[in-house]
Formats: sequence, structure tokens, C-alpha cells
Amino acid sequence: MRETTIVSLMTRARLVQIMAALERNGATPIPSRSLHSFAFFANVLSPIWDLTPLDGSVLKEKSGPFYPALQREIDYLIGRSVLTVVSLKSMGHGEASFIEPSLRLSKANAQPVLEVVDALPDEQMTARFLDQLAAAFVEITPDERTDAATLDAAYSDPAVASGRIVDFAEWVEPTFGNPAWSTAQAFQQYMPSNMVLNRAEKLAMYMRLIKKRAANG
Amino acid sequence: MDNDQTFGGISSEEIADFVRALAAPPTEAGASPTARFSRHVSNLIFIRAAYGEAKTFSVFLRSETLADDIARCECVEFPLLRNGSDAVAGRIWISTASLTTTFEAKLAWSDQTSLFQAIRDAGFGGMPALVVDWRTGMPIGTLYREGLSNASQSERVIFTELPISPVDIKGVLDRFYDRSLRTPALVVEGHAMRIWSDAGKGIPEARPEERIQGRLSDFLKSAFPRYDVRSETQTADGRADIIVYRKDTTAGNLPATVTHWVLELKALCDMTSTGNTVPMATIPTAISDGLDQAIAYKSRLNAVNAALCCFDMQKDEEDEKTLFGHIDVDAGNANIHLWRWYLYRNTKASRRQNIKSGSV
Repeated sequence: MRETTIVSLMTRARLVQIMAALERNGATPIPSRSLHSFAFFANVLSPIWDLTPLDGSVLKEKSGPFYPALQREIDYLIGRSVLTVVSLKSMGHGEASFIEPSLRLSKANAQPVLEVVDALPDEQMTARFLDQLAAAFVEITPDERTDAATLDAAYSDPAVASGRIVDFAEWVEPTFGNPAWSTAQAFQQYMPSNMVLNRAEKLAMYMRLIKKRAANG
Repeated sequence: MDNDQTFGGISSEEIADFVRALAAPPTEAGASPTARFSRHVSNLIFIRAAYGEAKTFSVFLRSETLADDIARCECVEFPLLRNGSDAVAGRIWISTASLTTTFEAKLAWSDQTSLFQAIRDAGFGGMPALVVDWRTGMPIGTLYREGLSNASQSERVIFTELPISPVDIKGVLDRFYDRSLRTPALVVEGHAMRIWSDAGKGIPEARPEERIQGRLSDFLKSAFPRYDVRSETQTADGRADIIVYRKDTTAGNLPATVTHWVLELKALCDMTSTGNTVPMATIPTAISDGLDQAIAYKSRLNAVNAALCCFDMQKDEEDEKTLFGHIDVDAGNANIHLWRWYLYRNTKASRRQNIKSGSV
């Protein structure tokens, strides 16, 4: 099988897992830009759970992270009726305008994929991670979910200018070289001495910090 | 400045301020969708109890795919139900684990029998359900993890902030055992982490206590949603396996944390995870060590109650009196509860014991 096909299949499978987690936690229908935002968090925070990010870097844009490969799979799964377009909204102005769909998962069509993916031992851990992430993500006000990713420690790093690559796991260590991971680890030093944070708590606290930043603008 | 760069766009001061303001990590972190659902519904019930609700029932159904489920019957959206301003009694609610958007299912029912039947007939029988009985004035919760189609599998959910009695917590532990641990097949059905490496040969997985701990914590979080549950709380004497606590205020109106229960877990194995035999004398020593830990953690954490919870994975079942005979006086003096559950190595042995004890 060609490498591009494998990457495409992995992205597609991850997209179905992501949508299932968002469905379970009441975050759908989700605008496609918010979905890219969630996918970014799923990448940048996966080292907290000792998981390898699907994408270790992303282009820094003012409008937030956008994954062309993920968008291709979104389009493909809409075409296969695994994702359903609930509504369309005109966004932006002039040349930058675009039509944004709000999406949800068609459980009946996604179920065969989920059954295969969930049977893989490593993917069970990924599913738990995505469920916990979605539970935290849904606490962010819907209007602020798209912009939330721009407030992430790695994405908002002033050392990375807009139009450059935010690298948190491509050429750098996904842990020490990843500001989001470092921030999540730093919570421990401010906790009472008798409280040792586990990875789920670090993840939930990190997303609460992002929620607070989003609410403060 | 160097330190700030490590955290990218977030300063170390911002991190410190955030953690200080948060005070404690969210209890929902790490909880299963059903445990989170139970806790969100509980918060809502707590608010609604103060308003006074009609003396009937509420049913909350947890959906995995809300849009598909609400298409099965006439439903009305209540996007702000979680705020607690809408009456919930006498209605059937469908929502997700986070209780964000909620729908009322317009099904016809008149009493508890027709209520359950209407839910099953609508195709909602497989959805995790939390039923609230408002008839006594004080809401009583029952959680059906596998849905109302399997109504024999249910758990009490305690909505009050009253102290948790030994009977209450033992009841939850008993149900946890019956649902998740009693036989190797239940461990698999309950989607729990494996406890046996080879049940037939009596070989446990490595560190079985830790595996039990994670699943039990989740069970406690859904059963006592007004309480916080933490694993591995550090003390000067080591880490307490599970604590159940509440944030409170002192008589002087100062913030305080009251630890209501310390649970020290011990898996008693006569074989190691590598298949070697454990010397006989090891088991009584492990139980004594467990008691010492329970006493130490109860004291360090100023806990109201503590229990040593033994999960007996030995080949031959011993009764509680034999198992705890060498420590029961010390445990009584220190006010430590001693509880034990036997993990059968196969379903046949469990069934035989059930028949012997007359429980079936």
C-alpha cells in the first residue's frame, strides 16, 4: 500500500474517532473550523497521554490551525455519508469568504469503522484520550472553540510568527520541546504536596486554562 | 524569561495564578462518560431539589448520538436545562455525557411501569439511564448503566451531601464487585482492565490493585456525585489508594477539605504475575501491612472513616473471620472496617457458591 494511502487512512480513522468523541460529549454539530481546532488539540496534547501525534506541526495562521489532509478526509467522509452536513454558513468577506459546514457523525455509517478501529489495542487508548479531550473541549463556549486553538501555548508562542510552522513534535521532542506539554506538566509544581496529578487531570486542567484564556479574549 | 519560553505563549505567572484559583483538579477528569453524566445530572437534581419538584419521576438517558436518538420520537429541545431553571420531574430527558444540549422525549406514561415500558418501546432501552424518584420529597437516584432493558443491573446514586455511612459505601463496593470483579467474564463485560493474566491457573496481571483502583474510582464518582474521589493521594506515610472527600467550610467560615473515607485496597494473590508461587506467610503479612497503611492514612488525612478492602484472588476461599483473625482487634481499636471479596477463577465456581449461599 502506498505511503500516502496509509496516511490518508490513518487520518480518516482518526477523524471518525474524533467525531465519535465529540458526538458522545454533545459538541456536535460542529463547524468545520472548530473541528480543525479540536484536531489541533488532539495532536498537541497527545504526548500527555504518551500517544504519538498524527501531525507534529501545523502552519500558524491568524484564523487558527487548518489541516489540508484532514479537510480532504472531511470532504471524503461527507461524500460517503459518514459525516452529515447539518447546516452551511457564509463566513469571512471578499476573497477570504468561504462556506463553512456544520457537521455531525452518522452513527450507522460510522459504526463499522469504529468497530474495527476500537478493536486495535493502541486505538482504545486513543479513544479514551479523545473522550476526555472532548469532555473538556465542550466546556468552552461554542463561539470560542475555533479561536481556542490560537491561545494554545505552542500555537501562541511569540517566537513563532504567523505564516511559520508551529513545530511541537515534528523535529522537536513531543514532550520537552512542546510548550503545551510543558505547561501541563508545570501545573504539578503549584499543587498541594499531597496531590499528584494524573494525565487526565493535567489534560482537563490545560483545557480549563485555554477556556479561561478564550473567555478573557 | 528562559522559563517563560518553555511555555510558549503562556507565562509561568499565568500558570501559577490559574492553578491557585482552581484549587483542585476537576473530579470529572478521567471519569467515564456515564460517571460524568451521573455527576452532571446530580448537580442539576441538587439545584432542582431546592425549588421543589412534583412528586413523580424523572428519567435522564445518556445518548452517544443525540441527533439519531431524538429522531425516534417527538422531542423538544431544552438547551439551557443544565442551568437548573426548568422543572425536571415528570419528564424523560435525553442528553449527552456533558448534559449540554438536552431534549425532552414526549412519551406517554402514567406510572413507573408504563414509564419504563414507554422508554423501552421507543428504542431507548439500551441507553444508560439515571432515574430520579421524587415521591418522598428527597430525590432518590438509580443508575442503570446498561439501560432500562437490563433493569436488574442498577446502582443507587446518592444525591445528598450527608455523611456516607459504612452501609452506603459497602453497598457500592458490593455492587462494584458483583458487576465487575466476581468472575473473569465480568471483568471483560465491564470493559475493565484485566485483573487475571490466566484466571484458570490463578495468575494475576501485574499490580492488580491499581487495575481495580481505576475502575472502582469511576464507580464511586457516579455513586456519590456530590463528593470528590481521588486516587493516590500523597501522605508522609505513602499514597492512599482512594479517598472520598468534600470541600466544606469550618465553623469560622474558612475553606476546609473533609476526607470522609480512606479506602486501602489489597489484592491477595497466591501467585505472582510471572506464574511463581507466593509463600503462604505472605498473605497475612500483606493484610497486616494494609491495616497499618489504612491506620496511617486515616490519621494523616484526618479522615472520618477508613476501610481495608481485600480482593481475595487465592485458590481457596477463606471466610472473613479466618482471613482477618490476626488483625481484627487492632482494626477494631483503630476503627478500621475490614471488608473482603472473593474473585472466582471461573463462572462455574461462582455459580456453585451462589447456589450454596442461596442467593440464586
